[in-house]
Amino acid sequence: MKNHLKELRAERGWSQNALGEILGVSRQSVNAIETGRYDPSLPLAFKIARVFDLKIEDIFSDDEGEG
Amino acid sequence: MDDDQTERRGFLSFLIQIIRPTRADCWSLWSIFAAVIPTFVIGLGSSLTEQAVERGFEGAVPLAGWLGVHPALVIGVFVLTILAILGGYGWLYTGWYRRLDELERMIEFKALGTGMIVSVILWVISVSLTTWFPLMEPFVDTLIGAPLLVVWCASYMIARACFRRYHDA
Repeated sequence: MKNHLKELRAERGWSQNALGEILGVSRQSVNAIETGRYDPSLPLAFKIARVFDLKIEDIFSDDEGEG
Repeated sequence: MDDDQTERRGFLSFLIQIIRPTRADCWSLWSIFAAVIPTFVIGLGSSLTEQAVERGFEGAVPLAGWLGVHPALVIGVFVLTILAILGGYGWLYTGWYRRLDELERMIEFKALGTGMIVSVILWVISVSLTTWFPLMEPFVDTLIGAPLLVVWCASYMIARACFRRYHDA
C-alpha cells in the first residue's frame, strides 16, 4: 500500500514524533507507515484521515489499483 | 535525532536496539520480567526433575515412561503450557499491553513467539541429545538449566530488535 503521509506531514511542518503524539502512536509507527513497512489498522487510518481532514483514499492507495 | 534521518545500521546501533525500550516509561521493566520469569521457571523445573531422577524418583513422572521420553521433557511441556496460558492472559490484559501502539504490539507478538520457538527447539534438541547420546549428558545438563534463561532472553530481545529495525529503517 502506498501513502502520502510523509508529504502531508511535511506540508504542516510536523515531525514524526509530533504526528505520533497527535495520533497516539510511537514515532516508529509513523516512520513504518510512511516507509510502507507497516499498514495501519482501519481505526488508525481513519484517525490519520481525520487529522489531515482528508478521506482515507486521499492518503492511502492500493498498489494494484494504481496500475 | 532528526526524525527523517536514516538510522545508522552499524553493529553498535544494532546492539543498542536489542536493549532499547520503545516506551521506556511503561514497559521496559515488564519486558525483562516477561523474558526472564518463564525461562527461569522452566529451567528450574527441568533442573529439579533432573535431580529427582538422579535420586531415583523416575516413577514421579510416569507419563515420561509411557511416552519413552526424558522426564524433563514432560515436566517442561506441562510448565510451558501453564505458563503460556497464564502469561498470555496476563500479557494481554495488563496496562502495559494496552499502552503499546499497534505496531509495537505486533512486534512484541512476533518477538515473544520467536523467542519461545527458538528456546523450545533448543530445549527439545538438548533433551533428545541426553536421551539418545548418554555421553552428552554432562554437557546437556548445563544447557537445560540456567543457560536456557539466557537463550530465551537473547532470542526474544534479538528478535524484537530485528523486527524494530526492520520497521524503523
